[in-house]
Amino acid sequence: MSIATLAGCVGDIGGGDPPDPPVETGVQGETPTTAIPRLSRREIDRTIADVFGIVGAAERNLAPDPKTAVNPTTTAEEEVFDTLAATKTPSQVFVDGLESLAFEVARDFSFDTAAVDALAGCTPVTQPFDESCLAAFIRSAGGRLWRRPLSDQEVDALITTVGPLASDPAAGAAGHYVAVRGAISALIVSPELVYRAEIGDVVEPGVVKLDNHEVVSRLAYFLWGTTPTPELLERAAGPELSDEDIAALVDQMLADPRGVQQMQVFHELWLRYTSLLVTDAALAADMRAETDALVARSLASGAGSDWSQLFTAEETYVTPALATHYGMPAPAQASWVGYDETRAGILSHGSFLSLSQTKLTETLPSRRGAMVARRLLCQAILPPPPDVAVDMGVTVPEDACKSDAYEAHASGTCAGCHNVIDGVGFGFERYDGLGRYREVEQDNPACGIEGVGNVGAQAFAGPRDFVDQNLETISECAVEHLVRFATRDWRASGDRLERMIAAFDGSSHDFTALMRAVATDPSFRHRVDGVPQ
Amino acid sequence: MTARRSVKRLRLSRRALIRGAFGTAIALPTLECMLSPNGEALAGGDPLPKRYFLMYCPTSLVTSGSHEEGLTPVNAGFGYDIRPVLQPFADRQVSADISVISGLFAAPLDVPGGYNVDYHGQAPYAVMTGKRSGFSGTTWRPQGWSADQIALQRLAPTTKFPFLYYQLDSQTGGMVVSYEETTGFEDEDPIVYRGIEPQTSPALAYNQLFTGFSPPSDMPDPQAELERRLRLSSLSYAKDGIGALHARLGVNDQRTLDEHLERVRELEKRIEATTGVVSPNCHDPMHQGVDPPDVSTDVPDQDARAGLFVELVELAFACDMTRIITLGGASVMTGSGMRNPAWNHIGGLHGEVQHASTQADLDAANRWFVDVYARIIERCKATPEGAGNVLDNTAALFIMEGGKGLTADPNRSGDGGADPNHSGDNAVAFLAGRVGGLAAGQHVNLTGQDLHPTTVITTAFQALGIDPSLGEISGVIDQLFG
Repeated sequence: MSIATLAGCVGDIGGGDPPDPPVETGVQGETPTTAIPRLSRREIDRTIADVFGIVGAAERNLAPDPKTAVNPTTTAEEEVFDTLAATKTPSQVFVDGLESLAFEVARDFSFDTAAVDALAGCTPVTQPFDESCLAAFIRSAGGRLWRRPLSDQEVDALITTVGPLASDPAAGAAGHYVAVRGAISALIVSPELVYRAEIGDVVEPGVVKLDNHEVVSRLAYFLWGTTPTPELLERAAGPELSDEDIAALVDQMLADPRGVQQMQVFHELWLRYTSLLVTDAALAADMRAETDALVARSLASGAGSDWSQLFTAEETYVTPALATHYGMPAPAQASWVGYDETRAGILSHGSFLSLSQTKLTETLPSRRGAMVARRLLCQAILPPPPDVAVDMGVTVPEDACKSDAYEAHASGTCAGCHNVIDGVGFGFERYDGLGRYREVEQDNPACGIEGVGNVGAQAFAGPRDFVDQNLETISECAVEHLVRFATRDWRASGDRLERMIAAFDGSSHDFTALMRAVATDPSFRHRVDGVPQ
Repeated sequence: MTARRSVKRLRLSRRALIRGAFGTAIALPTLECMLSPNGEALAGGDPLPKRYFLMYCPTSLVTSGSHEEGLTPVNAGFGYDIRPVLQPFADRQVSADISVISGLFAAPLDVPGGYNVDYHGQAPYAVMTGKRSGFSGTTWRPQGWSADQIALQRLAPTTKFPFLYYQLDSQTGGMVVSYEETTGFEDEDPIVYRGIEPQTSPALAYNQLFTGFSPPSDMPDPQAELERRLRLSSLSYAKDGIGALHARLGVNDQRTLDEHLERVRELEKRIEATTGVVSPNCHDPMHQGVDPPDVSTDVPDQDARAGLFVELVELAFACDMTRIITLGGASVMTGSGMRNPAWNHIGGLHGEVQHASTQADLDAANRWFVDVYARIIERCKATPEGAGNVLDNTAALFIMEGGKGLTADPNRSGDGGADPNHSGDNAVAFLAGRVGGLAAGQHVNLTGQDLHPTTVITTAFQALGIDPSLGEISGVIDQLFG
């Protein structure tokens, strides 16, 4: 699927071998994954918000998920999704934070006795606590938090654990709600909340088929980023879900506003345009709005929708100030304005062009090239030999031209990488670190900027040219990133990837169709099991 | 408004304190009244607690393009000259409490404490473990326990928190400076060393220290006791849940849950314990429970964050919640690195400030880190304990990632050979405090002696009365003692 492997530092992280004939599970050739993927901070946050209406509890109490990690296979440091299971170790910081989160949510929610009663569907009538009403609360809240019905044994054990709290002298007349508080805290610190267990049943050696609740949980966290609704859980409690059932559920979930929101989350995490390295706050806000508008437009579903316009759009949404910044005709108010012949889509946005680790507004073509190669071409930039100090960068002597210095640098042990990533980076060199067009070097105006780069043997000049030549690879790379996001793994297998790419192409790049393809593929209901017990 | 719950200077029996704390087994609190008459030991004759502190500065002395720097004093001996980067020592009047050790050498060679070429990827591990790094085929991984964990094993304190590990920067995902031994997964060696996740949120660090905190009093606090029971009940239920889930998993997933269970037990022990109190400065600082907001996208308010961490370090020591603290600078060493309003006009600390800017810019950044360290020394010095202060019973280290090169011998250079920023040669460290007879306030120039930076850590170990060795490095810098 990906472009031809290039010499030097670049590995192919794409599909590789042609697919095997499809089989029922869809996971042949895939690597084992954990049976207890841990929710990300974002997912815990949304789960708590959905069940208790308390927003931001995880953000206040848990450390952010890593944005980068070293891939043990390639030893390269890679940008990763917050869903990646491998980055989630049960550190003391995490466990402490989870308990702190539980303490906060339990305290705040249990004080709202009306909300407690509403969630339980009953009002306590006995002192110090109403056992049946407490059990109803545990079943209701626990079912949402754990994404499955709690067994009688689990409910009884929890009542036995927290019931005595109701008689504590400090509880006074609020004994029932003190017990509820204990129950909430226990349900949150339990491993069943943060570890989304996928134990299922073994259907062939090394392959597990998820049960109904596990499938529905996968769907909810992939399509919505949060716990299933009571209606979905009710559906999961019924007969085994058929392919048709799952397809219908997926359609229903994608039609929900949470589905669109989740697609935006994926694009934010993939393209990283929310972390602008722009110090002017007003300019940064305008750039963010520009990209948000394009992403929203490209994700629209239905007739005529085309995700490709994220990269190919010939107009952009700008405020007067942002248009002036870019050197474009300024509209009277924020609106869509046509591009010139070199710009196109998001790769012309300041939000994207500022992400290449620039020093002030000056570009670092190697870093920009590496970023584009990783994110849009799905090339793995392998780590340099240990005796190459990459972070020294390229020194440009005074009075020298930047392009000459980079050309001279790309020799010897440095050539392998720099010939690849500099080639990509210099194709965008006519755009500075804030997205402004230029034709001479910032530090040495006597040096003109050719603005021509290359991907492999193919030359390109500017964002539009790059997209024209590489759109297929970019769209395939987007599929690969989405599958990684969904599977919480480092890589997607070639077979699954090929099927998803075919589905995306077949839909004329309707991103909703791609989400549907991932979620309805047989592989989404199976897991390759790791080392057995 | 800051409500301050100060420790009351009560004349209480130790038994009364224990009784007052819900009648459960607890750690032994220590008030001033429990000190010996001269204040140099506990009334029972036990010595005052000895403490280990290490701050890690994620920079070297020079930028890629410089061999001159503004930190290392010119004059050796006591009363050293204050170079621009050390100005916070003078401003905070702590230069007489801090010794500067210069001319240290972490070798990019296969020698004890050496590292294999990759400066950023290997040298910090070598310095923090005292073990050679990157020669066994395993890269970017520590090969041993870190200094704080060794100090923990040897000091074996019974405090509420065995150790604390904070990090100034909020970015995570890169390298850390505290490591523990663990069992490897199926595809790994039986024993591996992994980084310990630092606490990067001052608000969460505050919660961790002060949730359920109440100063010793002769009046029990029923509400606090209820909350303590509630927390322990929840964790008890969680432990049962871990056990039930564990039985249904494969070995690698079981190992994950084993680790999770171990952390839950550690938390449980802390909730069961009460806080020992040594200094009358021990109090709940009543933080607001939220971190300072970023000043702009991905640019934390580092001054405000550091201020909160400084206070927590002081109070964790003052309340004897722990005797071992590591304060990391930043974990992200590749890419642009730590952002700070102080240098955001240049870019990130790593890519832009260290590698692509001027020496004056790096000196200014280093001065920021030195100031954080100086503030901690200032606060510990101002925290009374016994007849003196907390600093008197503390060995407080400042270790930097790299030095400044300056040698003509290519074997002594860092990776690549051309960048003085990537060199473990001519490095500088600080050691503050007077525990164990340390003679603070001097500049000890060790240039030419090839002493490893870890030797400053082992010297601190000696001052703390524990075996002065770490990994392959052992020995003491005698000049640092009076």
